[in-house]
Amino acid sequence: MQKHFEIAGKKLKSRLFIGTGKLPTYKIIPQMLSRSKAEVLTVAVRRINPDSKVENILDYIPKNAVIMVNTSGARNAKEAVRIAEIGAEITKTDWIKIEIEADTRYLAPDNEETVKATKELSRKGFKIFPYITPDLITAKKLQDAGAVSVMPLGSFIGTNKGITAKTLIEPIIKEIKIPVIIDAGIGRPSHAAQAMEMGADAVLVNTAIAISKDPVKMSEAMSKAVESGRMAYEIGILKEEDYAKPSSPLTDFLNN
Amino acid sequence: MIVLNDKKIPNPKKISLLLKKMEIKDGVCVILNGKIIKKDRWEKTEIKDGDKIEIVGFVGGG
Repeated sequence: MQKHFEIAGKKLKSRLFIGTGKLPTYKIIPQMLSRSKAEVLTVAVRRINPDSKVENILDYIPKNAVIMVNTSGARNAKEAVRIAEIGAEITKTDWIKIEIEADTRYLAPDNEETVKATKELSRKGFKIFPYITPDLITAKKLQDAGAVSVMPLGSFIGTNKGITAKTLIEPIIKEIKIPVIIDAGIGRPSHAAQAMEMGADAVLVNTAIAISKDPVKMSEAMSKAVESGRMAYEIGILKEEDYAKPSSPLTDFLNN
Repeated sequence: MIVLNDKKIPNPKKISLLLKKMEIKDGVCVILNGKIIKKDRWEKTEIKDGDKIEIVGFVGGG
C-alpha cells in the first residue's frame, strides 16, 4: 500500500498524474482512473465549436478526481494568466499547470515567461505547477515565486525518449523543497520507474498512455512502474560498483 | 448579428438563451467582448448587436 504524499495542500496516494490529450475517447477516463488509481488529470482550454456537438470531457471526469488546467496554447505570461482564470471559471479548480510555448517544433517551454506567470497567479491564490526546461535556477525562482511544484521535462513532449535530461533534473530534486514532477517524454514504464528511483515526487504521463493500443491497460502499467520505482527509492537504491562482487562466497568449495 | 467564436450569428439577446440553444448547461466559460462573464450573470447579461462572444471549455490536454 502506498503512503500518502502531500502536494498543494492535498493528500494523494498516486504519484501518477495523467494527461488527457489525444485520447481516442473521453469515455475511457473513468476506467483509466480506476485501473491506474491515478487521482490527478490534466485538461486544456479551447473554444467550443458552436456547429458541432462534441462530448464535454467534464462529463467523464469522476467528481473525486483533481482537475489540473494546462495553459497550453499560451505564448506568454499574459496569455497563461488569462487561460488560468478562464479554467477556474469553467470548473472549480485552482490547480494550474503553466505551459508557455513560444516554439512550435520542440514545444519548448519559455522558462522566463513561466516565472512571470507563476508570480502573478500565485499571488492570486492559484496552485501553480510550472512546466519547465530543467534548469535549477529557474526552479529556485519558481519556488520563491510561490509555485507549489516544479515540472521539469524528461524530454520534449510526445517524444517518448525518457529522462534524457537526467543530469539537469537531479540537482532540482536535490535542491528544491517543493515537489518535483517529471513531465513529458515518459514513453515507457521503465522511464516512469526511473523518475521515481531518482526521487521525483510524481510523474505526468500523457502521450504514452493516450495513443497506446490500450490506454486503460497502459495507465495501469505506468502506475505499477511508478509504484515499484517509488518503493525502491524509499527503501534505498544501491550504488553502482566498478568491479564484480560475488553473490555467494567464493571460498570453501574447492578443496584439492 | 453578433460574432460567436469568429462566426456571425443572429443576436440571441441573452447569454442564457444562447447557451440554451447550444444545449450547454455548464462547464464552459463565456467571454463577452474580452470580459469573463461569471455564471451567476448569464441570466442577466444582455447581448448587443456587434458584440463578440467566445465560449470556451475543456478538452483533452497534457
